[in-house]
Amino acid sequence: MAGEIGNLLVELEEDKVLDSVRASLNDGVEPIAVVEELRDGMSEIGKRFEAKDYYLSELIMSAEIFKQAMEIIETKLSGASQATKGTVVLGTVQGDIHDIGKNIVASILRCEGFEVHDLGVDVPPEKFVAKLEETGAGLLALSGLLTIAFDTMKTTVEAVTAAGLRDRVRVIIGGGPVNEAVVEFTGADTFGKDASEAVRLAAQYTG
Amino acid sequence: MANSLAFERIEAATRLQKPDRVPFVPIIDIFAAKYAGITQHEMMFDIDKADYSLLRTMNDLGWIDGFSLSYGGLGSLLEFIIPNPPMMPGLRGMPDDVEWMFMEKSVMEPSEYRDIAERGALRWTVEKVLQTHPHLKSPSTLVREGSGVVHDLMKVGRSAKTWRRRGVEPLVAANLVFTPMEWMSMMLRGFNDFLFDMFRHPEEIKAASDAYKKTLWWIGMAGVLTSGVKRVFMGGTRTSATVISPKQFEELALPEWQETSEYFVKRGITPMLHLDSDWTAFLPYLKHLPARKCILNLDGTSNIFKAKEILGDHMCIMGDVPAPLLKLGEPDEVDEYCRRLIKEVGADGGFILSSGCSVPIDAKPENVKAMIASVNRYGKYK
Repeated sequence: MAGEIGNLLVELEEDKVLDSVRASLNDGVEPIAVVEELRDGMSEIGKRFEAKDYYLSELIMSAEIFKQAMEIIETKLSGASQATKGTVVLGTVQGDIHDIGKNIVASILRCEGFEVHDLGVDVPPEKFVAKLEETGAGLLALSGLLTIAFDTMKTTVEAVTAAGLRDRVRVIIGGGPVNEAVVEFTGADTFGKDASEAVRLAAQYTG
Repeated sequence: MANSLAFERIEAATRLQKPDRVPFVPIIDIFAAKYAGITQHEMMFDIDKADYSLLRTMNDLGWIDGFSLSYGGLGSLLEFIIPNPPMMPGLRGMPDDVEWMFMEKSVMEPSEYRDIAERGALRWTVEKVLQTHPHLKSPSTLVREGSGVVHDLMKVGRSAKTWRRRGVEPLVAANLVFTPMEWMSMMLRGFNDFLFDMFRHPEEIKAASDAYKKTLWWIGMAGVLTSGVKRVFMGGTRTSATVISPKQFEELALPEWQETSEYFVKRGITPMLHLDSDWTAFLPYLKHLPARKCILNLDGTSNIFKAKEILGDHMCIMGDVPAPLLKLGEPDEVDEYCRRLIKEVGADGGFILSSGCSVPIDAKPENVKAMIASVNRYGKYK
């Protein structure tokens, strides 16, 4: 179970979380310990989301509070490196500018300790490939809402293969209409039906 | 003028009765444009070309009973009234032949909820549109563009009447209605910011919603009066069970859905609830909406079979051949899905077969043909 700060986060007490974070740091609590408390809170929220006790609005609000808390903590973290759970390159594929789902997945991945390279929307295949090469990321997350995005997801996966990266890069796709048939069509590895599942799959692939 | 067979079919289904057969009423504007070889820009800014594309599509693939929401000829209206200008084909550097898309962008601050409540939604909206479309501050430009929109709307209204004479029912014409929360989330605050506001400023949202509702109803009524079509399109996605919690839905969203539906039902107008994303967990709440007076249109994400169980005796159900199936599936798979919908959801009447949201721009024509044919193959009631 999460500690006090984690519990406040679970209850989405925005002001109280931020006040407690500041107070803990002022009292000399190790920043990393505060981060761990927040992560415990996020983990509890993830469980409640999967159990359908919490909904997307609560998930997104908790990620927002987490982000603000991290901004406070990072001023004290100078030099202390945090281990990342893995590196993810993510974006909405070329021809589509819908970014709600992508942004949710990016923020939850960050809360969970992933290093996230969000390339934005309408991202051409070569840009994904270049970022995978640059970062050495093992995970590519592609988003799209329109059916035309299925085609660019496919060409993006093909570009990853052509660049010789497919053996080390797992590809997760997501977006409103995406299902198993779309996974097969695009050549991706799997799809996440919601943000929580996308993050669980990311952890599984990078673990 | 006598009502068409398609009109009678749709009305019988709306009253939860059995027409002679299941009506088929897709959203098909984007696909038809592509299929008939006109650009998305032409479809949205020239109703005559949009009408040609639908006629050509039907002549090739089969006639439909009606079409649900169409953006044919509405490009100038969308440009004019949306404070946050969308990505529009052929405008602001976009290619002519891409689908139009909303941009998630906030054009107001949380403090402005109070402004809406205090100054009135209509006045506030006009001022906001002038801020986001500064060229309209010139009176001559405002008159020119405003009269252009009115001209286009009248043409769309005439088109609706022409389709009726042809026996094809424009289900909701351009009669667009949003609940205040859906409108503010989509048009004014953007998805994330609005969700944060629901936690941080719920009372301000309630006050702004209360101020906004009549303006949004009047927009819908203006559409009804222009088109003569006594149904309205009520779009919902931001207040779905995909997004908000049951507590938030009960406190903030359900009262709006109830009040807005009741406003139109009292005036003899049928609300068509076009609900994108997953509403399955919220379906029981829809029993609070007027009985046998609404159409529930699902997009393939909600469980339509569950909707039949929960709401089959309360509202007409419409849907929901999924977009991925129409793009990636084969005609026999489309045929089988339509058969199942007709036989299970349409078993006792009260069902309209439709695409799940829009027929996608790149649907296989043979799949669209199979979908159209299915109502004649499986949908005849004895």
